[in-house]
Amino acid sequence: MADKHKIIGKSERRVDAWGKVTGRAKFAEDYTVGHQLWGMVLRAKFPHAKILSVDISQAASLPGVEAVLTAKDIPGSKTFGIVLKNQAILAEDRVRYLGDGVALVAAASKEIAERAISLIVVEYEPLPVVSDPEEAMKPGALVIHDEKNEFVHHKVRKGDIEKGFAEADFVIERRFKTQFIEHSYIEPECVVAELAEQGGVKITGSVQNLFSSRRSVADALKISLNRVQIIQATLGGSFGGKDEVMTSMCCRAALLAMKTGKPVKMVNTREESMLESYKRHPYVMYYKWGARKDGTITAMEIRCIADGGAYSSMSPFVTWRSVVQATGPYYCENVKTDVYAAYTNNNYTGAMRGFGSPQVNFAIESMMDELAEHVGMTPLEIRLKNGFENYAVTATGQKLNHTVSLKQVLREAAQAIDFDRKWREYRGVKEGEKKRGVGIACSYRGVSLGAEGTDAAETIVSVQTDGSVIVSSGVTDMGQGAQTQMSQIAAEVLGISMDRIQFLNTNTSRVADSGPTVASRGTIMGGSAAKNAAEKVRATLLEVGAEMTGVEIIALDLADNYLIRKNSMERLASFGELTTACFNKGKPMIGLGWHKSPPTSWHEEEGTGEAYFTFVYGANAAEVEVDTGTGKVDVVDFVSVHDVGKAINRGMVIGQMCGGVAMGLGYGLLEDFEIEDAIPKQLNFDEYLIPTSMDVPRIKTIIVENEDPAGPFGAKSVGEPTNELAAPAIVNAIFNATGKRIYEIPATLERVLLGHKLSRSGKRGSEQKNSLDSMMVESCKNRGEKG
Amino acid sequence: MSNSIAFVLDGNAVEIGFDRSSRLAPTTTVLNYLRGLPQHRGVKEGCAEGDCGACTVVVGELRADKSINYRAVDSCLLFLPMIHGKQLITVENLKGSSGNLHPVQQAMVDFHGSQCGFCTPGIVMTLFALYKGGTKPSQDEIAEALAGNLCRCTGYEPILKAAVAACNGGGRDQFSVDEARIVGLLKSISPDGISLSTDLQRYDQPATLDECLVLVEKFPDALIINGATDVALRVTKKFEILRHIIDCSRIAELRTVSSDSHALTIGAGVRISEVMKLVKNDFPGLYQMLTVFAAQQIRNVATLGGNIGTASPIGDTLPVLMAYGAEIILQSRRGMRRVKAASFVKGYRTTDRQPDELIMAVALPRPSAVSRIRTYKVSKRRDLDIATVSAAFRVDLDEKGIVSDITLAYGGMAECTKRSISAEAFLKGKAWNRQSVEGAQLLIDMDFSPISDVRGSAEFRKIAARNLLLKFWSETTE
Repeated sequence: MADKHKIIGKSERRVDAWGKVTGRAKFAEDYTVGHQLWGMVLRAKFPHAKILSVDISQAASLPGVEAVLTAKDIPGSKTFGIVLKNQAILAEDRVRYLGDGVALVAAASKEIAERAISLIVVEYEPLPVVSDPEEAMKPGALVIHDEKNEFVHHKVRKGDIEKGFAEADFVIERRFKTQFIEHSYIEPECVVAELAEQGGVKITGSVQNLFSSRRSVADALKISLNRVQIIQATLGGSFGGKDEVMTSMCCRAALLAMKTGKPVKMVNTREESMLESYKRHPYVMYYKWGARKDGTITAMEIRCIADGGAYSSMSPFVTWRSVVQATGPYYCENVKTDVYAAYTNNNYTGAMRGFGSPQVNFAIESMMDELAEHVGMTPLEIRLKNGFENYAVTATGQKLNHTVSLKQVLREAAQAIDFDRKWREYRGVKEGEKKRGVGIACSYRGVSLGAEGTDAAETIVSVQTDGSVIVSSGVTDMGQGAQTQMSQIAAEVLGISMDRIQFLNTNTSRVADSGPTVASRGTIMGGSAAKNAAEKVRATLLEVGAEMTGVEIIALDLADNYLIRKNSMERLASFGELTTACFNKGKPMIGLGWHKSPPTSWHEEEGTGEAYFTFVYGANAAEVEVDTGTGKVDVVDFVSVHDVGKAINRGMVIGQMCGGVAMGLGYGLLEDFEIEDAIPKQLNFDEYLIPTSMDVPRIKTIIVENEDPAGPFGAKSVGEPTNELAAPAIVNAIFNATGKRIYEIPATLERVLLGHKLSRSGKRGSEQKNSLDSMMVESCKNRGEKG
Repeated sequence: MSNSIAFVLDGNAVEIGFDRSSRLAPTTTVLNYLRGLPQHRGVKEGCAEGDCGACTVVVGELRADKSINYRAVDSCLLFLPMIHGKQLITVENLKGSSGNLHPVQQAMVDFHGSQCGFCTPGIVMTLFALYKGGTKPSQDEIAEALAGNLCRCTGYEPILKAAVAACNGGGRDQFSVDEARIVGLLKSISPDGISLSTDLQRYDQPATLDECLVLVEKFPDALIINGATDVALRVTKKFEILRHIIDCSRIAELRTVSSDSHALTIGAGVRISEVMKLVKNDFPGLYQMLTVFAAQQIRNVATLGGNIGTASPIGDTLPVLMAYGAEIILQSRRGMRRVKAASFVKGYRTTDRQPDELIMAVALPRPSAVSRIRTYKVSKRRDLDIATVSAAFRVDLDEKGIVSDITLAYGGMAECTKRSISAEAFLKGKAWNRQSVEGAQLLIDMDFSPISDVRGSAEFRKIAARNLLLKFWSETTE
């Protein structure tokens, strides 16, 4: 089929690439304003304590110090939060985790600010800490906020769970556990806040979700939204991570700027960043499945507990995605899922790429392999037997009305890695120091926010008299390529080349509140708005073109920077001539594009609903080599397959796929933000290990395209789905290699090694007794065999 | 002695004087210096400890043949005087005069090697150094070169593709055209030693061994550095003000290498990346360990002498030197002496070096035909990670397969690198078979009581230590 698009689907160069490879790109820390002060935070000394007094007198009298602020200096709201407004900009009477801020300093230099911070005297009364969410939920546990620690309970109910288990031949019951994950954007947080000319503040910073940060700054300063302007500096990675931590930094810098009347810059060191920023939720997951001997799943009972840390943050939304997706893309008539979040004194947890799916996918996909093992099927066979097809009804009762490509992506992944053959071959190998294994995992994922909240976005396409175009959007670019993707869409619709387009960084005062750039909604929402905007401009231009040339609108088209006659491709006017004519006729040169998502619904009490307006499907397959002497797992081959609807930019889609796999590999094997008794044990990249170029294998990427009418040119999502499957694929591969299943990630050297001697006698898993493994629940009962 | 430093930046000679009121300290890092310049803010700080590579710059240095050698280094770990007499190249310098991108920049654009872009300037500089290497690197060499640059967005795949496309082995670019002029500028910088004094600090960089030994003797409390990749952390992380530093990175005698049929003697100031080339064929066990020694940007600065001198409990090279039976050569004004690597380390970060002595060189005896040597590093991540347990083993077998001599050296198992004396004694005189090794495995536990820390539990360390011995046996008997 001839390609109907000129720019959509091509690996166009990124609009921001030139600036980034030359060092020209301006990240937040690269902004310097004349006479700027250096802002700094005094953080908590204890993870949980009452603040008895704060004495700032010595710090305030230090020469060069221009302001020292505490919570009582905040004119408006002292707390913020997207769902529950309980996060302190500065702690007033109590600190709830080690990253809490207690006081702020603005000084002429960093050195003076550091000195001033050390002169602030805080008197604390330490309180016991709660650092285990399951303990936090027990009656009588120390309460961290006003009410009980359990602050979220989502449920999904379908069918009759008792009946489901009664129909089962056997039941598999397992406990899974995941870790805190640090986003590890390479750029630490930074903002510069300065007074705006007509009152209020202007903030330039490394902010992901400008509109929610703006709301909190306005509330804290007690000023209206139009007096807070937040401009996004080129953002050095976010992955969901530059939301609340940036909101608090924006509020703090704004408070200092308002107080001193001078610009204030704040930059976190890596240590401050890791200490204060929120993480991906650790989950404890209890999975109980009933199934028949033929592999049919009759019941799923699932209970997950998320560690919410000190503040609610995005937990209510993150756990909601978990509850919707906790059963995976598999048929089951009887489902009972409960997902909880509880406060602890750990780092608060919030949005991170995947948003509640990486955790449950690890459990689901491990369970699927266990089920296969029980019924004597291969991991691929069991998934093909139970996986969703067109018009499947999900656990929440939603009928899937788009192309359900689960089996297509599964087969692609399996074929690319030669799954069934290798799986059988490796399974039979008993001997050897290095053992190989293959694993597979798949998922379905709701696109965009779903029933979480209002889902709409704006993109503006503005045509200049010389035929150049400016595009801006409320959807932000944090490195994923939103600007390029929207530029491509505008260029396609307007029939112009990419070099005609200049994209502006998002500015809250120049574009409508478009919600947060999260949930892999950049393309489907921002891109749809861009298409809508460009189509409005296009309609005007064609109208002008018709007047200019006397040719009917219907016979005209825009292509290759020209107004053309559709049939003959005859060039009637250049795009620049056309825009000049448009200007001269006084026609609107701007298209305000708005896109609102199709409806979704959720019934919290019944635990049912049309959760998302569409879904995407993906499958990953991994091949590993396990050193049975040291427990070292090397990923030697990897296949990533995703149905993205339509790839707007193939190079960028592949970039998302590879990046997602690398991050998922870190999740499965390396990364663990350890917190012991509410104290983080690592604060930099020497001990928090993310994958390097030596850890990531060459990744085979396969893009599947089943165009979806819900997205621009059929495009859906790619950012997050790529990050939710590598860990279970790897863990399943380790099982294939060693015969030992990992129930707690990351699969570190110790978890893989302990209990395994360098055995040449070939007794698999003969010595599985150790402290770590005792955490596993071994309660699998095979009723079929008993009977 | 000059109280200023000179180097080449943006193609011009730059001189920075130090005095009591200097804004810059001798221990100001090159990163902080550059970020203070409005036209050099492409260099980024991601961790300030040499773990992320966002601050990677390239240092050009005169070779003996008067050409320029380009090394990628972490500017966050480099004190300003360490670029004295050298060329500093940043991402801003790569574009051609007509504004065209350098081949490595162009490839990064073409292959989508940049997403968020924060790590990009560092990656571009690593690729630039690779490009200037002048040989076509293999896929593995590219991945190896990039291991010191963390990227959270791309999964590295697009960057590797860009590197393959750009680093085609030519190495020609505008720097080649300008090289003769830069060589002239570098040669015009005085070869004399420097001595920088400010209110709080003194920084000596002697140009000759004699000068250096006088200083070392006169100031026994001064900190002796060479690459300073470990010492720099005391400045960037612990915010210490180092009162007096003696930087011996310019002393030619510390860079000398001599080789004969008995031994290879490597100067203490030879950088790890250079050591790797020297030992690749004849000392594969050492080579193996050095391939996983931090990452390239660190190996391009860190020296063999420095790694021995810091005497870290894990010490990548020390267990290996023990296994090879290496000798450390120490020099003072009193004379020279040689100490066995195995007796050089005295305890936690303490060595046998006397305050007036300088570590001059390491003599590596060539292993005999009966010696079998292997080295192992157990770490969570392959590169740029500190070992949980490291080990270096040597076994000498007689014609009957009996153990005539054996060294079992471990890192990460005690407060300093240490041999398993009991296991060695047990194995000596026994047949090199599974039964003997299993017996020795049990004895390893008696020699060590490792701690549990973030890198691994005591239990894990013991099991890994035992398994490594078995692995050694199986690798040397098959």
